[in-house]
Amino acid sequence: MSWVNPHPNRSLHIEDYTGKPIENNIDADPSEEAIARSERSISPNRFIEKLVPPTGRYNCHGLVFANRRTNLGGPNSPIDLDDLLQRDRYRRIDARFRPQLGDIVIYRHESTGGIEHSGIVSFIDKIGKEAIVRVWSKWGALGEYEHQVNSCIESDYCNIEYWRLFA
Amino acid sequence: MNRISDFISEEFLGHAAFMLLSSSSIDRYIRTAKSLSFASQLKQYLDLSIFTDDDLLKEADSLWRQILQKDKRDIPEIKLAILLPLAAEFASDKASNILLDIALQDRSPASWVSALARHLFNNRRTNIEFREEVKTLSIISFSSEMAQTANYDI
Repeated sequence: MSWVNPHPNRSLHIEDYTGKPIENNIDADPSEEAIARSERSISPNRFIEKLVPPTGRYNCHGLVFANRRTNLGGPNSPIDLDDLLQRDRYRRIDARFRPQLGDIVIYRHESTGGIEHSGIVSFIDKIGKEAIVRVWSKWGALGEYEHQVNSCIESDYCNIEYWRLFA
Repeated sequence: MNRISDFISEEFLGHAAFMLLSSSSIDRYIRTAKSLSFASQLKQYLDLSIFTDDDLLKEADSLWRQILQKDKRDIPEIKLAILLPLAAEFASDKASNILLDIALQDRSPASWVSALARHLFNNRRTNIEFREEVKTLSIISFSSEMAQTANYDI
């Protein structure tokens, strides 16, 4: 699998928030042992496909909003992602409309309201009246995966929102 | 003698590694560590005196020293993240000191577990009580200043 940028030209505001070069927010990679143990515990029922190997260079929000350049929202990079969505002029898609390829998926904690995870819509299909949405996302310090929108850990306790950039 | 982290099964450790390393936010990391700590059943072992508070603190300290020598996020971080929420419940200066040691070291690869220690330290009962006391004193002081100002106005 080659390294593909699923959605280029994302956020340009990262440095405004942190006030320091984005390279400062690179985290340590996980060790091979930690990766092997983690991956063994991923349930085969989650219908996921691994796309890119683990790295601490960026997390899910770094993939979605900063082209894999940095970690956003970790211990060294506190950031208000809702503010980022507003400033970058994303608009939330009304639940009546179908998501499109390239839309951003936000997993919002159902009780705290905090953004726990983000990804990019990478595939849409329809089975009967049901839309099957697959998402490209990075799981913390682990790898990038393509998975069904409701088959990552966060979908167990988060509400799912779709956001889009309009021209 | 077994180390305390030997009481954590391989399967559980794998699950914990996945849950902690896949965290993208510190809130989720903290919540996950607390939940794993509870699910690990180490608290029951403590209650049954299979090991002591002191054993747990020694192991936490040993894991912390291992983390400091590493350049990657590794299994000692996972084990320490499971132990720390338990250590934070001990009413001892030693527990406070270990939490503080970890909390103050804010560089990768220790930054995640450091953030966890900061949260646990800030939320220790003694610190919460201290903050409440300061808040109460501030209110009293503010009220008396206001009363004095009111008197001057009169």
